Amino acid sequence: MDSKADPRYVVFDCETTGLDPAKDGILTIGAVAVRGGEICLDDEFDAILSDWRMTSAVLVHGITQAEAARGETEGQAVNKFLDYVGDAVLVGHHVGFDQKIVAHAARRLGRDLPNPALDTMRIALALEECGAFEGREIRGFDLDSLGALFDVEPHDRHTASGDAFITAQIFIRLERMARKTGITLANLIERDDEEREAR
Amino acid sequence: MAVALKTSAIILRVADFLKGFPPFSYLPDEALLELARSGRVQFCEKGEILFEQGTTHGRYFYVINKGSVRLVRGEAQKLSDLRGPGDFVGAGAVLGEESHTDSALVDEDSILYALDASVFTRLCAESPQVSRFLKVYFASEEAETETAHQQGPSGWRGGTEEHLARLKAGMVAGPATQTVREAASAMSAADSPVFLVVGTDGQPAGVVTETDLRNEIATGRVPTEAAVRDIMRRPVITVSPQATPQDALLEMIRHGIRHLCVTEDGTPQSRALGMISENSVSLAQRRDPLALGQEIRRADSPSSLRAMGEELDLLLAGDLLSPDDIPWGTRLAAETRRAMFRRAEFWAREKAGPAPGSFALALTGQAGRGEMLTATTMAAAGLTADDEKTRAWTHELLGRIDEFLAAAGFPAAPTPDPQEPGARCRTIGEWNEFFRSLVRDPMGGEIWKQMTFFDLSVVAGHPALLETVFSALREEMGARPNFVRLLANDALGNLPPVTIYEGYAVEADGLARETIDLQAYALGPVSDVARVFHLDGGNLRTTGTLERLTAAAVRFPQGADVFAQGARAFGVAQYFRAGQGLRGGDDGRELRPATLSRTDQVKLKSAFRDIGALIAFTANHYGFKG
Repeated sequence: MDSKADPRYVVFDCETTGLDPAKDGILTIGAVAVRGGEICLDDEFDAILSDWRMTSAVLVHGITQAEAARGETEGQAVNKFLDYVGDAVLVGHHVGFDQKIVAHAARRLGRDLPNPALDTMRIALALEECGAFEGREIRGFDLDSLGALFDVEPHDRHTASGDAFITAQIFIRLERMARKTGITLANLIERDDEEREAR
Repeated sequence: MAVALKTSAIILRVADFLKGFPPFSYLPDEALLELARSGRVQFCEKGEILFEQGTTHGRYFYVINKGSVRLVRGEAQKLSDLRGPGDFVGAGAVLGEESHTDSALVDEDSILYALDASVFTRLCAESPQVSRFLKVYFASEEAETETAHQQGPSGWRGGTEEHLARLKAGMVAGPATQTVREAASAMSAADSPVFLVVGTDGQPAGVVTETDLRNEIATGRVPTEAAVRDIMRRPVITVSPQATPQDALLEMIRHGIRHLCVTEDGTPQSRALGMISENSVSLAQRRDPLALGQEIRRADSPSSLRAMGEELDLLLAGDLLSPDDIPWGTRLAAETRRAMFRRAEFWAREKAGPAPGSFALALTGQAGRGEMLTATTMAAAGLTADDEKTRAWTHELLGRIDEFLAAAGFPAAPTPDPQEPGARCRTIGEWNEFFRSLVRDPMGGEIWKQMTFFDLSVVAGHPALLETVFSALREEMGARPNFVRLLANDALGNLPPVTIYEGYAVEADGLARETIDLQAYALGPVSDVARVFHLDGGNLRTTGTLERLTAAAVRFPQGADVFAQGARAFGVAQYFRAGQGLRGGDDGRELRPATLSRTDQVKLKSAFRDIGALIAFTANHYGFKG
């Protein structure tokens, strides 16, 4: 199948020890692929990392030290994740942060993460600009608000897999709305690239 | 050692949703995970077509996670079902169908799980429970309920291994941290009315009943994701494994409760072994039907007859555990209630003195057909020799019987038409004239009001009198073959709902009703159709609807399957009516589908479909448009 006509998106989320991509590390990675407007349950990824000291992040993500001890090293998990992603388009809510923290980890392994990325919040904002949400009550553009807007159950919230699944369910709706509204997702990717260059 | 998590939370989430609904709830966890892993999650907008009627089954079938899907058939897009969360569509391939029998339209914005049909087919083949459920879901084969086999109408022998095994099998239990939704799913899957909350050592900590779910969850006071400890009732009343049914009954009466927990030593501090329900106590307490029959024959007053009627209800409530029990239960109820009628007739004759001439009393309508699972009106008609004295005597006898039966708790017979005082009691000559004019001018005779007289069966007096009437009627009907066709047309009036959706009975035009009149829209139409084919075969001697359908299947082999399915559907509808009536102490006509378990809703839905097919066959057979 033509990958341009039917791109593989990998919707992912990382739970991390902090908010500084250069210093902090990854606790867990959860991801699932979207293709042809469908979430592919046979194409998903889930990893828990063992080699980060537990911080207050554990309170948010609920990962215990014992669980982390059973996990993989950063090298193993990130290598697998990069292989899993392949040349897919990355998708996430505030994807920039997750993209950066994985890229830092990849660099430590001598690899990189050149994949284009789409931010579900930016897609939602672009749709809002076009008036696509007219008539709907929209509380905000954070993950919980978009989840509520699309009636997505907040199961397993604040776990990497849980958030990735919620984001994927939001993404397949946004993708469809974008198609109807005439917004091509590729344009949003390019805009991201331009902004990055400008910075 | 570094290991990745064995199963992703995403797959677990999908599997967890499936586990809440039959038949997926019957599959082991590994099978559910495999099925979930095979799938896709799709978002579909209102109006989208999932698949079209006649197209070949694809790789996937769909389980509705959110929203609803409308199944329609034919060019007119006639609604054949409306399915919601937990239901599935497009799975006909599992039962070997090559193409879709309906088109599936997305009824509102929906989230669907598209799951691999070949994986599901393999998993189904490995689970007899799933196969049974699917047969009911797709067609009409009657499913055996778990409870029917777990409880069974066998005796109660406290303390025996058999007794304990039965108690354990019927117990649905879990920790206080379990969510209400999980508890409700477990109750639904096991068809259990109660969830036992247990402590860390297995001791009883609280109970959650169907009533609690209705009061706390259905009203929105407590969210479904709340822990069961938030709504459980305490303390749990416990008994020892050696408790007799009488002990259990006393405890239930004393505490005003319907469930007891059996623990190892009878105290709440020891491990829970099982649950005892009000039903199982009633069942164990039941009387021998033969002894009941003998007592009826010796009853000395209408009030003692009333007590025996209540005993019969109790006995039936305990024994009717699945639609399979309906034929036996129907016979038992018919024989017992006829015996009660005869006792009332005995008292009435004591007062009326000797009969001046020959007479017969015949039950009519449902009672005539012997369909008296719930306390039906025992409407009787009188047939007498052609002399006014006997007719007047019989008329008076019927009035006295009505009084005795009313005092014995039977619903009152309809008030006789004041314009037609002899409507229920006629001489042979008058009956012959009544039927003759009815057959010659059905519309003028308002045939739809007189159908109960085509279900006459003699309960007392001389059966030969009715034979004389039948003989004249047979001749009259033979001369006017169009009469049966007119009856057929009349039988097509009340169509059953097409489906049950979210607890509502949905009609073909989409109208949703909270309650359904089982007599008018399920039992009545089947009885009417069965009567038509019965009369068409030249039969006048009254038999029950099930027997009539069995005979029709032999006489009209092209419709054998439809008649067999109609008979099963009649049994299912009777089962629900009887359950409703015996529990509620009324005739059980009005049923609220929302009160049924999901499995029972599927059974009833399937029965409606079969009744619809029987009516369509009848319309086609007699040349009416369906």
